Amino acid sequence: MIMARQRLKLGTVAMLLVLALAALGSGYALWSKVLKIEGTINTGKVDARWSGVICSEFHPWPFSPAILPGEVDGKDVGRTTWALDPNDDQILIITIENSYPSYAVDCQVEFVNDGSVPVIIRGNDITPVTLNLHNCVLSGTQTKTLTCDELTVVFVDNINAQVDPGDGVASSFRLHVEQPAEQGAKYEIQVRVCMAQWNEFATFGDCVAAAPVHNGGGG
Amino acid sequence: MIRKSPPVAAFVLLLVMALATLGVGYGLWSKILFIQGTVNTGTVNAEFVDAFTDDDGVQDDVSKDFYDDGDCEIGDSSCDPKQTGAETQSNLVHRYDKGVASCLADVGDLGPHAGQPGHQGATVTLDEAYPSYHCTAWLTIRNIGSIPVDLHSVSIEGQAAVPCATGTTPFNLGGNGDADVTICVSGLTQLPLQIDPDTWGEEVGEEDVTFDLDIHVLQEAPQDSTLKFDAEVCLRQWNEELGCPVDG
Repeated sequence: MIMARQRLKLGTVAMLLVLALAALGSGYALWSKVLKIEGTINTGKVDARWSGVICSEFHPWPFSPAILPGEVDGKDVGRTTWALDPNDDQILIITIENSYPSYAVDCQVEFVNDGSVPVIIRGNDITPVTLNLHNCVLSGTQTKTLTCDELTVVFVDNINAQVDPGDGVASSFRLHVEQPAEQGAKYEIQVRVCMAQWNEFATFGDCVAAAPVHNGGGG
Repeated sequence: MIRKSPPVAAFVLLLVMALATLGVGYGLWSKILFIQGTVNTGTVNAEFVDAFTDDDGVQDDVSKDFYDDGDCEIGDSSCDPKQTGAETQSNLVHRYDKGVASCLADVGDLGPHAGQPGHQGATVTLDEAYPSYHCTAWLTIRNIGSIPVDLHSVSIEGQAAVPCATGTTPFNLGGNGDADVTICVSGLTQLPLQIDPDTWGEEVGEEDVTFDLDIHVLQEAPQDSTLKFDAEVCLRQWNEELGCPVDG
């Protein structure tokens, strides 16, 4: 009986020893591999800039296939010039000098998608800036018209058009000086064209609200 | 007691919509391009830059008032004109042999647009005039604005002035029912007559326009009276059809 117990203990110890050695063997023998993922997301950007302007005087108003180029009688009285804001290529400055009632100019303004994400033009608006413009009313959808006593401004745009990166769009900015315009006066208006990434739903208001504020105001 | 269960589905739907709205607000990338338009208007303005007559005692232009020298043999001034129009050196029948009346013209800041830059008015004054006295007054206009203008018409006492080549208009300035003067205008080759801004010319005054009012005192003119007439020259921007009251 005593012999049998000793034999059992010995067997148990041997078994434990085997198990312990087996466990030790596993620890040393396991080959392993860790795969690492480094995630980097470079986002694109929505950007655009004015790329070109051509202004042409014409008469008579309104714009139609029957218009004639230049001013009445071939005179060179008024002048229209343009320039990009030196600090912000988002801002196109169109300046008209020595204008008079019935002076009319049509500027083809072009902008290019300067970003890396396609955009859709969500809308535009025209607003009077100076307080000497009276009874101004904005009308139209695809073609916006700001009618004031002193000026009429028309902006023909490509609302809902998609513009891919590197691609450009041309719009038409027309201005006509009306009879009540004062002599020696200065009138200012502003046009905003808002575009947003192509894959989101956005109204013109959403677009304007989401646009980064810049040193030109608005947005 | 049965408790009504809350509308879970509605809450979920509202939550989804709110999140969707939030997603648009935060997730939209957009860009605004601006056009800043500035319109500076020009000015329409003109002034009388010169005025003289053929009986103001001063020779102003040898092709118009050659013998207006203030030295008539009889009287204290130039010999009085007995006809209207330009007087050259060869015209020896333009004047009487006496210097009785005088006719003076000047420019000044008067008229409905007084106060604007430039001489907005001119005066023509006949003194000691008498029946068959004549006076020709030359007036020169310059465009001192920045917009071309059309000299559309000349009106006298509210009537379109008649070109002297075609006739003259009698006026009853004394109020006695009879015409006491006739006035016509000459020197305007055409109407409307375009005048460009003076700053466009290479020389000052290159675009000046001169015309004359030819005045003839009639037999019915009252003695020892002051007769006044108003004349207006209407100019308007060259590209418009409106703005002048008298159809010239």
